[in-house]
This record gives sequence, structure tokens and C-alpha cells, in this order.
Amino acid sequence: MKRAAGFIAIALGVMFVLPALAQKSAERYIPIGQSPGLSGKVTYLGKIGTQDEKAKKIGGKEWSATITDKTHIWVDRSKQKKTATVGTLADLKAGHRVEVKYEGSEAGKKEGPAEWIKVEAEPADK
Amino acid sequence: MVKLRPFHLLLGSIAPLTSIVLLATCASEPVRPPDPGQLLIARGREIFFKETFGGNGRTCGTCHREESNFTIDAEFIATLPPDDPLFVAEFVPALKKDFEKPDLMRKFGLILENLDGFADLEKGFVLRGVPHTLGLRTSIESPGGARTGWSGDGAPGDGSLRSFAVGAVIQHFTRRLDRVPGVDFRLPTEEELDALEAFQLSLGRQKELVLPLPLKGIVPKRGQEIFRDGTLGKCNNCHANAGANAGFGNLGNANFNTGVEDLVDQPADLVGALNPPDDGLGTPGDGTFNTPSLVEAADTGPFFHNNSIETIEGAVAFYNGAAFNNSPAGKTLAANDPNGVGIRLEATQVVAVAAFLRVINALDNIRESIAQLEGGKRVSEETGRLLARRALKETRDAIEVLSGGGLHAEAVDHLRKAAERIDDACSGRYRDDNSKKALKDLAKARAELVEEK
Repeated sequence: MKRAAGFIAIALGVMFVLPALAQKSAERYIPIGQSPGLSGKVTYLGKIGTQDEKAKKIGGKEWSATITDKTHIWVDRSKQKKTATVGTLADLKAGHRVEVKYEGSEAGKKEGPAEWIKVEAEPADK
Repeated sequence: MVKLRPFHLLLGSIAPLTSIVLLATCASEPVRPPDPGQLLIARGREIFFKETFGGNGRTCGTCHREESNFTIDAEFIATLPPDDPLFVAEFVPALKKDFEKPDLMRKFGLILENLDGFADLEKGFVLRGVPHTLGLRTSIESPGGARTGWSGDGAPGDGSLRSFAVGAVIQHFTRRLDRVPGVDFRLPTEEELDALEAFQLSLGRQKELVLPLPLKGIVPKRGQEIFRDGTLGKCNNCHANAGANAGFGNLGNANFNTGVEDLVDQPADLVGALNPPDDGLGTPGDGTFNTPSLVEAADTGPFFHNNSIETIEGAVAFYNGAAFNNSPAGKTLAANDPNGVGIRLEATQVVAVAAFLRVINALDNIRESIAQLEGGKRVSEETGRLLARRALKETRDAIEVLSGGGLHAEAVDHLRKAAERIDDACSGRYRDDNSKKALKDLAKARAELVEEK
């Protein structure tokens, strides 16, 4: 019986060993800094210092994030009372406030591939 | 800092736990400081049923109805007035298109979800039933985090039950499809999320059953054997102790592809309306859905994520069919079976497993009824009636669940007597006396179902 259970566990393993269980679609509409259980704990909040379109990388003095094919980019327009939109690398402009959720769930990460990035539509000092 | 109004909260929305009774005992007894945990639950209850978050008028309780075991089905929906917030898509112009599919909601209790994103509102949706929120304490944890919703990934943020409400507000509470926070809704505060989580975790049973139970009925008893038999029913593999956790590998709640999407003649498909396939967990989905608890199943149908099967017997029979046996989960069972069989039960065995599920559901109803009536001792008249009404609901569910399967006529008789007494207690007629007698009737009913220790 134990052996059979072990087999089943291995055979079904691909179905439940998954990196994240969070629902991504609603995340788009959550403004920067308000993602429950993530903002202020796991994500990095800051301002874009540089953007390297070729290397698909953004960063600042102490942090950087790589944009992969899987990275979601959302443009947070809640301050303008407008709907959040799906963004591209071109929206990640220097001077804009961002929130970066890196792949994985470790706190304090400041570099690596991003799972999602929220960027404010207007520069931070505007 | 959490701001609570202790006594108002407790009187207005009592949580069904006995410790709360201590907070509202008669004036002559010493006043005890409020239990912060109970206050949080009471606050969560208030938010769950009353807070619209500045949205379209819906609350969590719009779909998770207490009077319908924290879910809804077509039969219940038919009793609602046309201006119920459930039907906002029918009377709010901004939500008329692509927010719900009213016809499928009314016919099958299906709710629209944009789980793979909001880019294509016209075609990018799935229709799912409303999972009940009972027994969450025992049924959503996994090594990878909480598994919420039908595919285990229902919550945004960190994916926890605490975060679930944020996604629900964005999906279901919005005034417009633009979904702008601060305009179309407001997001729940940290304090509200704490309270909502506490309330949801307080609902229903707080611990797992331990099978086998010493059942008295011959058919339910046989059903339990089949359920637990690793070569026959094999149910215990994914529903250990008839709960939501896997019976192997310390996985807790797990996702499986059981082929429900491949069922032919699904009711919602027969209507002919657009009903896109549901790919389950993730984007794109991997075809898996998480395992629901079975203890609460018999009185919370329809079954599966798409409400495709109406009866508990039908839900058990599903595992006999081609959709399950050709699915990854079915094939895995077959690969580990000496005869290469996934699940193959005779009709009598299907009914026996369903009878077992009916009995454990009724036992849980009786447990909850007793808890409510016990909680109603030495509380104010108003609170006592409130708890009695909940006990009545549970007792009636037990009657329906047992009589629907032609099971335990003697127990049903005791339950009917209990219901009559609780009904009287609800109307305030000799409440204490009727509650005491109802407790005895409930105990007699339970004794018909299971050997008492």
C-alpha cells in the first residue's frame, strides 16, 4: 500500500510541484505597494535609475531586475484614476517608480529575473 | 491598530464558537475581557456580509450565502429578488457586457472569472461554481502555500487565504470593467484582510475526521470500506479521511487533472452559450484543479469546478467514466493497479460511497447544530435565536442529505423532531427548554448513524 502511494506521489508529482500559487491576473489592478502579503515584505519598491533595452534590464544604485519572456509588466495609472494597462519594456522609463516581484519568494531580493513589474505611468517627481 | 466595537460586534454577528458565550453571559456574572480572536472573527463576519468595498453592491456573502452553506446554486438563485447584487450584470449598464453570463448564472450557478487575464473580456473567461468556505482550516494548506479557489491559485499577492479578498473585490465587486482602485472599488485594508481570514477559518469543522468511523448503516459502512480501499474506490488517495488533503506524501491539499473538463454533455455546454474551456492552475493552465473536501460535499452541490454534476451519486459515478479514467489522474491510478484499472465501481458501489458521504455530511450538520445550540445557552434572547436559526438550518440540511439518499429513517425522524423544537426555540417559545430537548433529539439521531464511544 505504501509502495503504491509512493508511486502515485511520483507519478502525479508534476501536477502539484509548482513554484507559485498566486493569481496573477488580478495583480494588474493592485496599485504599486499594495500587493497583499508581498509589498513591503517580498517585493522591491524603488525608482528606475537606468534602463537597458538591449539587455532587458532595469535598475538603480542598489538593485536591478531582468525582464524575461515570462515577466508581466503593468502600468499603474491609479493616481490618474485610469485603468491599469499591460506594459512593455518601453514603459519602464528612468525616473518612474516601480515595484518588482522577483521570481521566487525570498524576501530582500534585489536582483534577478522579475516575475512581475508594476510601473507608475508618470515619473515619480511629477 | 484594529478598531473594534466589542459588544456591538458580538451581539450583531456572533461567531459560532462556545468561547463567545462567555462574553455575553448574564449581567450578574463577572465581566471577562473580550477574546481578541473572537472579536476578530465577529469583525470578519460583519465585513464578509456587509462590506461592499465601494463597489457594485456585492459583498463576499452575495455568492457565499450563509443560508446556502456559503455557496449558491440555481435553486437558491431562483429565490432571490431581481435587484439582488448577484444580478448586477442585469441592471447595471456598465456591467451588462462581459462581467457575468446571467443566463448561465441563473441556470447553473456559474460565475465568470478572468483567471488568465483581462485582455480579452469577450472570450477570455471561464465559468465556475462558487466553492463553499466551510472547513477551510483543514483543507487549503500545502507545502507550496495555500490553495484557494477551484484551481488553487485564486488569491493575488502571496496567494494566501488572507489575500483572497483582494482578488475577489477586483473581479466581482467592480462598478465598471476598468477596475480602477479608488474609483470602481476600494481595496480591503490590512485590518479587514486579517478579520476576513479569521472569520473564514472559523467556519465549519476545525479538524479532520479520522476514518474509519464506526458507522451503523450497512450501506454507508460498505461505502466507507470502498472509499478507503486502495484497490477499489481509491478515494482516500486524494481525499484522505474524506477531506481535501492527499493521503500520501504529506502534500496537504493538492491539484490533479481528473478530466472533468473532458466530460461530455456538460449542462452549461448544452445551452449553446460560449463556455470556454477551463485550463485550471496557472496561465496558461496545466489542467489541474485542487481537491475539495468531501465531508461538506453532500449539501453543497452541484459538483466540480464547473457545476457539471448535480447529485452526489453522479459525482461519485464520474470516477467510473471515460473522462476520469483517461485523465492523467485516472491513468496514474491504472498504472499502479495490478489489473490496470483506474476506478471501476458497480452501480451499487457508487451508491454506497455516496451514502457514506451523505452520512458524514449529516454527522457534520449534527455537530454544527449542537455547537450552535450549546452556544445559545446563557446568551441574550436575540443572540440565542440567531444561533438557533443556524442550528435549524444545519438540522434541516441533515434531514435533506439523509432522506435524499433514502438513509437512516429513524435518524431522520429524530432530526425532524429536533427541527420542530429548534423552530419553536427560534420563535422564542421556551427557547431554553426546546433547545435542551432538541439537543437530546440530535444526540439520538447521531446515535443512529454511528456507534457512540
